Amino acid sequence: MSATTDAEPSGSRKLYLIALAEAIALAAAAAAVIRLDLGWIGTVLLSVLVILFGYTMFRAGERQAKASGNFSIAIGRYNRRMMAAGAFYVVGLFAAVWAHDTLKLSSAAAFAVAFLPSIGVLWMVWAMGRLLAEEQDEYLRHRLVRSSLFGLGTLLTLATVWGFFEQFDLVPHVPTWAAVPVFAVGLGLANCVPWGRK
Amino acid sequence: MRDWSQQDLAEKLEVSRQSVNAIETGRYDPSLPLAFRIAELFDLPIEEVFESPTRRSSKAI
Repeated sequence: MSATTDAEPSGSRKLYLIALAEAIALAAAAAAVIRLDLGWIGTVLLSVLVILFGYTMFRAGERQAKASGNFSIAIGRYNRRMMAAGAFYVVGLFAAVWAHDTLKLSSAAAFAVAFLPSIGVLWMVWAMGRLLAEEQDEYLRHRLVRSSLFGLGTLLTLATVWGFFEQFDLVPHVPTWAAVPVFAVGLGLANCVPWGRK
Repeated sequence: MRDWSQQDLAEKLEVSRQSVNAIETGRYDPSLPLAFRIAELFDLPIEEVFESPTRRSSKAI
């Protein structure tokens, strides 16, 4: 089937540049906070920066998707949910670290405090599931499923290999909360895979 | 052939432009309902819009 007159435009370069600029700015801010030993003020500043940069990235992504005709209602909802979850995660993590370091917590309270950062991450996992359920465009849904499987494969592969390396004292311990970021990296990498024709 | 852009076709089919691009370039096979919608939009039988993969492979032999 070839019925139309235009080809796929490459409108994502600006988005990559924004992401790169924000990553550099964030790294510089983190280095400054450590160097100047800003303590809690630095942590709050970094948290605000992470939320702000996350928000601008989502908005830029949304604008790019709209401009290239690849925006869907489900993606819009997903973006808003991820922004809210991301902000909650940063605040939850900040609050949990503060409570852990400054308060004398009972066992139950310590569990509740330690669970606080997880809520934001679980919210993100829920948002991913809702995107899959709500996306009406079958091709976008197909891509999402493919990326999710690639992310899962990445996570299983890295966790298995790293786990055995760790077992034989070859590499340092990695906390299990790293599972979601590793899965997210796999999701992103799926977009770089040349899937080619079916 | 109609002088439609991918965006025009995507809007008429109520799918993303990316979907139209993926179908056109052979990176994605549409579901049967979407394939029928495409054929109906062009007012053509489905086999004139999409090529049967088995016939395509037998031509290659």
